[in-house]
Amino acid sequence: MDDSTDTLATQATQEGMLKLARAKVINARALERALEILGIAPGATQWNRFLNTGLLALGAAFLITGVFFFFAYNWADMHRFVKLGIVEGLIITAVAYISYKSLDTLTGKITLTVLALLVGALLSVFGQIYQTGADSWRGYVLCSVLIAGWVWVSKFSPLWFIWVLLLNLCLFLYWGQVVDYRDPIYDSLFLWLFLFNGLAVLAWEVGSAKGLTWLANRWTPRLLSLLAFYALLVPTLDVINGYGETPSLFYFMAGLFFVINALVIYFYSARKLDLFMLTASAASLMFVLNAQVFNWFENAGDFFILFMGIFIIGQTALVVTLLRRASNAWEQEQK
Amino acid sequence: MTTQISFGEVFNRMAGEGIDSSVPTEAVAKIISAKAEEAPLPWYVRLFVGIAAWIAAILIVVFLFIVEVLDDIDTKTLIFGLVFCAIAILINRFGPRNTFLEQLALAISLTGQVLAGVVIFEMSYSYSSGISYDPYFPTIVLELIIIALHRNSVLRFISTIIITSLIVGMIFDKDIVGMIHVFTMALAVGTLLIFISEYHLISRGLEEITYPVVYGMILSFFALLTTPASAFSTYPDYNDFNWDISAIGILILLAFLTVYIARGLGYRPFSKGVVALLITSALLLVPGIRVPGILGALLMLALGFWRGHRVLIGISTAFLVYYISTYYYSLDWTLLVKSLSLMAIGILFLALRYFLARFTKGETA
Repeated sequence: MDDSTDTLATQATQEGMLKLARAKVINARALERALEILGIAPGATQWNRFLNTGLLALGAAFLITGVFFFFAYNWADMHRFVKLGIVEGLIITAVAYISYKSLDTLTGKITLTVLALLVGALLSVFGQIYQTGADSWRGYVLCSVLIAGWVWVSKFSPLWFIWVLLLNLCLFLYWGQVVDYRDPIYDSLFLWLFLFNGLAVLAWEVGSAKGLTWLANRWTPRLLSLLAFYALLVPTLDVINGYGETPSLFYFMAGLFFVINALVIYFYSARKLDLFMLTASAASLMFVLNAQVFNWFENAGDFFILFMGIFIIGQTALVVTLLRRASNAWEQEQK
Repeated sequence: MTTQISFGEVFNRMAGEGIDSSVPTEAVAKIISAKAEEAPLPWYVRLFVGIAAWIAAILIVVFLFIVEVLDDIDTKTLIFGLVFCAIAILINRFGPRNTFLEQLALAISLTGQVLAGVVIFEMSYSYSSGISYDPYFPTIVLELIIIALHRNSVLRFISTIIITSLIVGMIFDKDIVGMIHVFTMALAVGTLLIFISEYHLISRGLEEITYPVVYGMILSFFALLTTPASAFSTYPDYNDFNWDISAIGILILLAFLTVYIARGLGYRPFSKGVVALLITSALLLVPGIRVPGILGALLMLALGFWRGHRVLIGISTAFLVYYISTYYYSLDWTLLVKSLSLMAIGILFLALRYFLARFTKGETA
C-alpha cells in the first residue's frame, strides 16, 4: 500500500476536510456533505435531539418565568395561604413529576433544578408574609441547606453551580449584614471566599479524574476558579499598594496567591491541559506584576508610561507563546 | 462526536451521491498529511490579548500627549495616527511571524486608530477653522481598510464593533432613529447570509476575515436588541423606535432559516414538523414583539447549532436568558398579561416537543 492509500485509510477529520476545501480540492457542497457524514454538521437525528432538549429547556424557562410574573402581579391581593399554597403545590407537582420521570433523564434533572429555585421562592414568600426582621442571609443559608440533598443526588452540573453561587451569596450577605469592620474576622472574607471556591474546584477536578461523566463539563470549575483568583488577587494588590493599614492576614493571602498560581500552572499544563485556567492565572500574575512595577517606578518620569505600555505588550506576547507551547506539548504527549 | 470513517470511505460515499467524484488521490494525501498550521487561540485568550492591547494603546497615547509629541488635536496628530496604522499593517503582513511583533502591531494599530478617530471627530466640528464635514464615513473607511489589510482576528473583531457603533452613532446624530431597524435587520441578514455561505467562504480562503467580522456583527446585533428595555426607553422620540418592525423582520428570518434547514435535511417545506415549528415561531411574536431580543437570540442559537459554533450557542443562550428577564420591565402590558403569555408559550413549547416526538417520525421528501 503506498502513502496516498495509507492516508486515505486514516480516520477522516474536520480539519482534514477543511484543509482540502482551502486547497480547492473539494468544493463547498462536498465540504458540507463530508461534515454531515462525519457527524459534525448536524443531520436529522442531531436536530431532533437539539429540538427535544431546546424545547424542554425553553418550555420550562418560559413556564417558570410566567409563574414568577404571575406572583408579582397578584401579590398584594392574594391571601397568604393562597400564596404559600401555590408555591407548595408547584413543589409537590415537580417532585411527583421527577418520581415519574426519574433523575437519570435530562427532563428529571431540569425539573429538579426548577424545584430548587421554587424552594427559594417559597422561602422568600414565607419571609414576606411573616416578617420577623431577620437578616436576609439567614434565608439564603436555609435555602442552601434545604436543597443540599437534592443537589447531591442530582448529578447535574448546572444545579451544583447554582448551589455554589448561592453559598457565595450567603457569605457576602453574612459579611455585609453581621460582621462589623471592627471584628477580628472582618478581614477573613477573602480567605473564606478562596476556600469555598477553591475547594469546589478541587472537588470537581477530583471527581472528574475519578471518571464521573457528569463532571466532564469544564465551564463550571473555570467560572468558580475566577472567584477563587479574585479572592486571592484583592488582598495581594492591597499588600502591594499599601493604602492605609494592611491586615496581617493579607500578607498570608499574598503568599498563598503565588503558591496557588504555581500549582495551577503546573497542574493545568502538565497534568490536565486547560488553557482557560492558565490564562486566568497569567492575567492575575500580570495584574500583580504591573501593580508592583508601577508602585516602584511611578515617580520615574514620563517615559515610564511608554515603558509600561511596551512592558504589557511583552508580557502578553510571552503569555501567548507559553500557552501555545503548553498546548503543542500536550498534543504531542497525547499522540 | 465524529463518526468513525476513513477519508477514502467519505469520498466513496460522496461519489455514490454524485458529489465531487473526481478527487485526485495523491493531492488529497499530500494536503491531509501536511503539517498543520497553528491552531487559532480560544476566544478567551483572544479576549485577554485584546484587553491587554487596548491598555497598552491607551498608555502609549497618554505618553505621546504628556511629552507633547502630540500636543493638540490637529493634522499632525491625524498623520501620526494614520502612520501608526500603516506601520502596524506592514509589521503584520511583512514582519517575521512571532508573537511579540503580532501584539506590538495590534497595540500600534489601536493607538493609531484612537489618534486618527479622535482628530477626525474633533476637527469635523471646528467652528474656529470653519471646517465642517461628516466624521463617520472617513472613520468607517479607515476601519474597513484595517479589516481588509491587517490580518489579526482580534483587531478585525474590534474594528467591526467600531464600525457598527459608528453607524448607530450616525443614526442618532442625524436623528433618523427609524433606520435603527434597517440596520438591525441588515446585521441579522448579513449574519444569516455569511453562515449560509460559510463553506463557500472557507473554500475561497476567506474564513480568516469572515469569522471575526461575523462575530462582531452578532454582538452588535445583540447589543442593539437590548435597547427596547434599556435607557433608550427614556429617549425623547422613543415611540419612533417601534420595535415591532424588527421583531417581525427577525421572525421572517427565523422562518426562512427553518424552511432552509428542513429542505437541506430532505423534509418537505410544509411537512407537519416544519409547519408546527413555523406556527410556534409566529406565536413567539407575543412576547417577542416587545422584546425582539428573544427572537434574535433564538435565530442565532439555531445558526450556532446548524454550523457547529459552540461559542455562538453559548452567547445566544446567555442573551436569551437576559432578554427573557428584561420582559419583566416592558411597560406595554400588565404583569398579568405578560405572565399568562409566558406560561402559554411555555406550555406551547412543551406541546410542540411532544408533537414532534410523536407525529413526525420518518417524515422526509
